Amino acid sequence: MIPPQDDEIRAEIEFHLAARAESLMAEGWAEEDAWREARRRFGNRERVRTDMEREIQLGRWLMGWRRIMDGLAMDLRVGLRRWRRDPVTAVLAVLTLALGIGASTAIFSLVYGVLLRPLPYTEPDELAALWVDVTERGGPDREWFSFANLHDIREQVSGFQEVGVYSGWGPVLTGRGSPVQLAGAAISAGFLDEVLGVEPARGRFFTDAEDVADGPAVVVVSHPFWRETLGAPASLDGVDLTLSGLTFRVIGVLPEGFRSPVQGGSDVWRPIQVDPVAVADLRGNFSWRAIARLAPGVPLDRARSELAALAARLQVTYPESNTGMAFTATDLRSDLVANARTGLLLLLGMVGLVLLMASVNVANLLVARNSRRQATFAIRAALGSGRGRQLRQLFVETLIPALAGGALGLLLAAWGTGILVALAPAGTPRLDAVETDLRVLLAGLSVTAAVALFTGLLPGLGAARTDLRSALATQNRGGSGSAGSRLRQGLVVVQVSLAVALLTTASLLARSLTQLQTVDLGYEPESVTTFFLGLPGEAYQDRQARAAFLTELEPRLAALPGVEAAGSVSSLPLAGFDEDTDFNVDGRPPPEPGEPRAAWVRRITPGYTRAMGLTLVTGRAIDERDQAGTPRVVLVNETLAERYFPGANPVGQRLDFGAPGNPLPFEIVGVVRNVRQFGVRDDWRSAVYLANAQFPAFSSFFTLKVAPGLEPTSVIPAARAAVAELDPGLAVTGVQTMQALVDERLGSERFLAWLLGGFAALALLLASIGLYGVVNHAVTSRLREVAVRVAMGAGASEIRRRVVARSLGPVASGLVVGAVVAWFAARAAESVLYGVSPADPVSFAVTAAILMIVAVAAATGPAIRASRVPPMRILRDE
Amino acid sequence: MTDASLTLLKGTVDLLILAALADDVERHGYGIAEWIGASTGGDLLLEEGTLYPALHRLRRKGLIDARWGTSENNRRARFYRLTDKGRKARETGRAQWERYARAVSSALRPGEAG
Repeated sequence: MIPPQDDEIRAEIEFHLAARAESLMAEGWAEEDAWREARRRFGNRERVRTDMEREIQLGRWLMGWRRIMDGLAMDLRVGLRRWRRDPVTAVLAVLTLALGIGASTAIFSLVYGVLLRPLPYTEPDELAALWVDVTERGGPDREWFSFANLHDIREQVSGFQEVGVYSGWGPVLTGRGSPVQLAGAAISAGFLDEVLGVEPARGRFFTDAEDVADGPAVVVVSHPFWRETLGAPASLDGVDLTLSGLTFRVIGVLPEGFRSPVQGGSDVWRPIQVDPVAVADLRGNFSWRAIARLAPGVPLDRARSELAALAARLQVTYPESNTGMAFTATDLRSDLVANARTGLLLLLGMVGLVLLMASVNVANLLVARNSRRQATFAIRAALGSGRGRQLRQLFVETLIPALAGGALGLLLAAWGTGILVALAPAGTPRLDAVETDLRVLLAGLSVTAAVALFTGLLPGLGAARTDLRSALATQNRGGSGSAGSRLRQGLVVVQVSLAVALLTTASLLARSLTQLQTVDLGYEPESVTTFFLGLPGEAYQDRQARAAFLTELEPRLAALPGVEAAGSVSSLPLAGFDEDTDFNVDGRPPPEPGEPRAAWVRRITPGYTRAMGLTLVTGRAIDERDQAGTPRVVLVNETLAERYFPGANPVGQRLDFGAPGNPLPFEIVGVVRNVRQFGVRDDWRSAVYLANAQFPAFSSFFTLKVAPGLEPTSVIPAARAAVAELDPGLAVTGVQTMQALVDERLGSERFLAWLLGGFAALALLLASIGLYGVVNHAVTSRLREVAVRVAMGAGASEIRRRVVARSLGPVASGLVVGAVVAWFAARAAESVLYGVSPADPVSFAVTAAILMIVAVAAATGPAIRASRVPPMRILRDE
Repeated sequence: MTDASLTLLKGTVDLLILAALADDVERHGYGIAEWIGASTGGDLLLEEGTLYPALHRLRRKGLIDARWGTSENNRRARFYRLTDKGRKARETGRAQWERYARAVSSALRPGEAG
């Protein structure tokens, strides 16, 4: 059929032509000529026709659009009016959604920034962190490399396009005000450009020609360093730095916002300048780390198998140094956040549960609201209001609190993200990458939309299915067994079970936090302040000079007013690192492959054991008698003593730290208690303490035990003066109390426990709102039944008991389902628990008890209302 | 005639249609074409067909109304009439046009332009 508009267009054009032709004929034109002239004056008919069609079509669309918008506006007006009549439900729904969306967006921002956001380097997925795994010999699984092993990897693993080698470098900057300790790194030539894919903001990066032994003294500096310390010079020509006494030429500046993958950040970078030939046989030390870029298209697994094959070859070629040594590669992002991962994913899971609960709660509120209006819906449907029309109206109506809740939730999220970042434990990696960004915002919005759809359509479908007769009938009878009420009971079961899961996990974490807070650290952090002192290699190359400096400094520090004891250690507990070495018990055959033979090594001065409060189990501590010329001595920890000398006294025995054929024996003079070196939940490993005078370190942590009641850091100015008196070129840095270090380590545990506790409280609140709603609604719809009971002589307390007991039905089911969910949640949380079993009966019992109390409390209000029902009025009203 | 005629500037058709329907006169498309021809003294070259898309555009914008009726010689024709909105648009359009024309012609007058 031709659309009528086509007819109209044709008719209009026909009329015009006819009128024109007639008028021409009246002027005396011949008929044929007149028609031809009329058509000529009219112009291109086809074009006119299509132009007209387009205008008409556009007009229709606009009209349709306007009609839809008008309809929406009306739905909105009606929706708003309806919500004004039921403000309590509206406020509860908006708040529930805002809390759920706000909490989940904030947590998602944190998790996204820390775990998921790509690293700010070119093709970050091609980057891998390389490690030496020496667990087979009783060492750590993430050990650093010897240069020789790393050199072989660079030469022989084809799966890597480039292997960037780096090592820590802590020079002291002088000549620009007082000495400043810098965080630096020595890197191989291609590290910044070829591995990370970063371009210099100014100048250039290192060339291969510069990265050779005895190469030029050049540095690249960070953007903040260029701006603040160098004063943002436009040209780098002639800009020099005095670093630990040597002059370096500044050749390049990193781009603004560059984030160093080297933990702790870096102000200055210099080339490593190592001759691989000169160190080819030094495979036993561990001073280098590496980040590699995979060759294009090569999967990480292929590089891994190449690494494994190389490690096996090297074990054969260099059995003394490489036995039990494996090489591993982890993608860089996972590597950086390895420790934070479980906790954050746990949080994300919990927040998902809370969001689910919020949705269930809103659904519950809306089902209750709509069940009160079922008769209205049915009547409206019977009067001819279409099902689609009613559904749309309902949808718009539910969209109102959903969008309001979403908007409020996003505000909460922006605010909450800031708070989370501020509260997050200091050690959290990549915290600076956390922001409420566009994608997180979109994630939050889509959550809002999903919740709106869920909550809008669930009650909508229920309501639209209603037929008039049964709706009117249940309205009169009170609808106790209606589909809506069964649905709501089911929702309560879901809510209670989610709350059980959250509450159980939270109490497990709370219990493990208490365990951690009372854990035996192996030392006494109270009243101890620490600082870091690096002795620049250039001035302290001579080991005698290093030993002499500390021997000279220690009594001066100990003599400061308020200081009770002073000592130093090469790797402080909780400072984040340790040295390790291989050893053998003197007089025993060399260890078999796979037999542990590594121990942590700490070099201490005589005052250290006293200042840190280490407990001597047997023998003596290292003291002033142990000097460079006296017999070499070693102090061992309990784990080493028990593992290698079970049931025997190790004092007087000897440990050999030399290479095969080149023994270096030390006599064990004492045994000390184990120390938590890396964290409060540290596992025990073998550890030894050497005399710094016999094996002087380049850098030391000083520990000062101050008099009780004195602020520990108050002695630092005097300590600084004492250091400057001996060598004014040294920088005292990293001042921290031992207690602060311990608190920082506990901080992440506390953070997680508090957050989960908060979520559990939120979950409990949501569950009780839901329960209250259901019980209240049940009481309202059973008023008649209650009235009959009262009329038959039931006492108020019996009515109350009955209402409460009936409400506990869904709670009991929820407890059972929740226990199962909680068991899985606890399994997932197992790795962050400490000293508590995931099946801890106390946590489960406490949860059940709390939920029962909350359930009874939520049911009590409606129960009291039921018991005060005036029976005659209710019965008369019907 | 063709040489002396002027090609219409864009947007002028709309204004001419509004002018043709002034004073609450109701006209069909042909009538509007005739009115334009008569009141411009035949100086404007108008492809008569271009009136029709313009009429429908004005209708979509709500400046004119349309209804089917019977013409003088008993044919079915679509008649157009200004709406309130159209009357206002005609006033502002005319004022704008006059300002524009004055500006252009004063600029084009030889010897007087700055």
